[in-house]
Amino acid sequence: MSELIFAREGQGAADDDSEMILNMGPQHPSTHGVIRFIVRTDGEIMSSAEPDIGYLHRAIEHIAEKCTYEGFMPYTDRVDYVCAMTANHVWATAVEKLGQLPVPPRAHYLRVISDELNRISSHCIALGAMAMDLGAVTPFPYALREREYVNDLMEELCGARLTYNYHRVGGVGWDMTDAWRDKTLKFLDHFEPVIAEFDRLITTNEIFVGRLAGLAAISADQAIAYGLVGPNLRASGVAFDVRADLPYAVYADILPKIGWQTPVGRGAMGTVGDAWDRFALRVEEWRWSVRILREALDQIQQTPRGEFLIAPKRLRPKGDALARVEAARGDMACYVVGDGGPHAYRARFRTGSFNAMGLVREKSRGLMVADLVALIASLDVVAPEIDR
Amino acid sequence: MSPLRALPWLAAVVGVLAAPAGAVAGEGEPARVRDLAPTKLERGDTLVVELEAGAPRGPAIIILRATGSSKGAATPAPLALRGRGLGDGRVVASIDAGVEARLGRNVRWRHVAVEVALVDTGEGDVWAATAGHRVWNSVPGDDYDLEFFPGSLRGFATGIAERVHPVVGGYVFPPVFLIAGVMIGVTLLMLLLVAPATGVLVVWERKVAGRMQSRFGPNRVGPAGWLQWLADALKLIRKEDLIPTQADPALYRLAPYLVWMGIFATFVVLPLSEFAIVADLNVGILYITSVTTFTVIGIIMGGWASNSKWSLLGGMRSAAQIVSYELPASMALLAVVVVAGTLSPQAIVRAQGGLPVDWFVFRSPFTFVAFFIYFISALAEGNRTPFDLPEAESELVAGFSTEYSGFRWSIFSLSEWTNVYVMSAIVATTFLGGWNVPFVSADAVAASTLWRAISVVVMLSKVMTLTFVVIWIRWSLPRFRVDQMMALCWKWLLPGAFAAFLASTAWSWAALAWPRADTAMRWVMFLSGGVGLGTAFIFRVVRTFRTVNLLHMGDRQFTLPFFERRLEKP
Repeated sequence: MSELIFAREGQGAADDDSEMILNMGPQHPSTHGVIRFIVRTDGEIMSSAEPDIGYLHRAIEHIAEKCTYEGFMPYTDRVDYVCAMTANHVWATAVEKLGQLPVPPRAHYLRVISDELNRISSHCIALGAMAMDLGAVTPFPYALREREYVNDLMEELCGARLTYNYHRVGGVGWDMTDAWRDKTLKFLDHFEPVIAEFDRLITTNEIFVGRLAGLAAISADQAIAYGLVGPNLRASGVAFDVRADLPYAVYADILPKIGWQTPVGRGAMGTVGDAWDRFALRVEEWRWSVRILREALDQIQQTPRGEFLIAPKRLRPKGDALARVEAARGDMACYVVGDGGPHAYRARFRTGSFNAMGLVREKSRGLMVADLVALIASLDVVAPEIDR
Repeated sequence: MSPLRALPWLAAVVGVLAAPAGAVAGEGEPARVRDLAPTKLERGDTLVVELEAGAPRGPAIIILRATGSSKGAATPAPLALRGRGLGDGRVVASIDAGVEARLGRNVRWRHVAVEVALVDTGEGDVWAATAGHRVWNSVPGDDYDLEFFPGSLRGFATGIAERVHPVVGGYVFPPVFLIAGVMIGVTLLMLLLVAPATGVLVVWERKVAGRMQSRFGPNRVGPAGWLQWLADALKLIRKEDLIPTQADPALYRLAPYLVWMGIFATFVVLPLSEFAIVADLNVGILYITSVTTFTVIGIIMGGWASNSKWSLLGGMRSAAQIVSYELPASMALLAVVVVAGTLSPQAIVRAQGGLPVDWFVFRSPFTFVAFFIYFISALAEGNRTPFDLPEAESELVAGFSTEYSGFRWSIFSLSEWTNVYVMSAIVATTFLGGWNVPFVSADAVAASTLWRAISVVVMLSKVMTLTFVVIWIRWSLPRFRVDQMMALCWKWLLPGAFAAFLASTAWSWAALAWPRADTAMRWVMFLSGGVGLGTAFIFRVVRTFRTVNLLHMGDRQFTLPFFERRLEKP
């Protein structure tokens, strides 16, 4: 792959002396995983940055064709290990749609709760790492500290801290306890002021805003044309959120109660859809996640205890189904085709980071090397989600 | 050297000397001459002493004793000159470098007593002692100026030189070599003292960073982790010494030492106290700004010789950055230099006082601005956040030091940390009163051992406070982009520093004319800039902290200090 790119016309090693080809990654500290960028620079200014992906390709979709539907669940954790819960969710939802399986309401609430907790921890990584890429080290441990709390909660809920394998076809693996619910509420009480603290520390920092305002602004048209999803799309001013616009699980019950308004980028510091908007939008999503969690933890009390899983007896679905879930990195879709056998005939994951990577080449033109790092970080790309 | 090279004042001397020379001239008995007229003795001058009793032809010793205070003389100690009896009652000696090393240059004596002792020696003998004073065999061409060494240190070195007096292969080492050797030894000793201090600084920074980031920082090695630097240093020294195959080995090896030299050479002129300075150069500030430029050569050299693109980018960035920020830094220092009227660090410290109102930072609004400009520029010159672009770990892997490992890397790292101390010390010296102790005059500090010790503590506490600020900034702020860094320098800091320099010049002239305006300005600046801004700042910090306190550590489970708080485990 890399040889091919190098051999392409105009990409060869410096035809003239004016440009230098810089190989950024796959072992670069801030490419957010094993991604490589072939950067052509003239001093600090880049003429292009060509993303080279595939280093983390594990043929997840092919594995789905070899496993049983239930047996594939742990693999979905590896689709996006930073936000594994939503990948669990999208697979479970797709298979349930395919097999027309019932899901108990408590399981839906537990799925929403675990999804939102995971969104918080995923954004912790995204925001902390972005601040770190811009040279501010302290926000990263702050964010990671909060993520530790979430990991503790997750560990108590499902026994794992990173690859949860919590959702099941037909429900979730385990019920929550009341103690766990109290603990989660305490965490939320603690986390809300932390968001304000985080804003004071980094989001509104003069240098930080100076670095990001107006940087790599993506217009709404461009975002739609490139198929951006999730926070990246919303930062460009497009109010589209799968949770609100194509509600799944119990979001239709929760969102109206909390006065949901899809957060969008407003260009408060520069242009709509700039890197600062993408950063600030994720901070805003923290706040919404906290509200969703409070409401979900409230509503789940009305569901009967212990009814969290209706395990299918014999899963031999036929036909096809598409499920869409709002993951931390946006609209994650899973299309699954069943042919009546014990495993899927075909499974396809559509992930946000892959599309975001497509934009890097265009957006990096004329930026500085330091800004490429900021651009990648602001798009919140995660290598396993790109490659799968 | 020759008595024939008589200078105009020679006749006068002879005239003065001839009249009262009623002393004895004999073996072992000094001939005494009283009250030499005020005389300027310079190297190459010839001193002729005429003795009544006559003196034989042959080697003789002339001993000068200063009896009154003499301007510029470090120690009014007896001084022996190698002379020669002319056989007609006169003894001739010339002032040579060895004498100068002892007395300092351009010594004007108020009262000098001259003793003459005749000794029976032949050619090639080593002159060991006469009349209780050791003398040395000086060779022509010892052009060493040692007067900038402080009196105490020079006296110490000379004492050692006198006591040791080594003879190697029949050749007596000239005292200037000995003194220079002692100076180098003292400097090396200071470096050995600095290395652990830097190590402690590293641990301190890591501890502060840990506290700021809700973690502990090093706390395993030694008491509370304070020996972590030793473990780190030992580990680094034991690492494999890698040189990339495509690197330029010679330059690659040389680069860290240039950086190291650029930083450590500044220690020569940084006064820790009245007595604790290696050399009080009269161009000290110029020396600092010049010698620190070695770092940029080292960084570029390391970046280029590594033959890595990341290193090269880091080196280029550092060249642009350090060279640019030298200008506002120097200009800001000039604002102080014009107030003090000197480039000597010790004199700058003495021109200030112990109390904040006497510090240069509060001397006028212009020095106040210059203080901040210098601090920011020094941060940039030292590659500290928010100006750590040359080694931006998230962009350039590790910048110019990407390919370095082990000992050489530790030299880079040591230099960087030491630079934090150096820049803080420069700021403390030039703007914050240096070693001046409050309510005690500089002369009183110099006179008493206790006050000297306290002055070291005062200086170190100022340096440590500034170091803390540097650490604090580092762990709070993101990094500038290259163009923003350049814009800040050329559009803001440099014009600002230039304006501050000009205004400071004008004000210091005005302050001479109106001393009361000067005093009033100091108090206004101290109260508004120091007390006012400081209070506002502390108030803001406390308020923020209280908010965090109330919201975070409320009543329920988060009762531990916020850096230790964890959710309760089931």
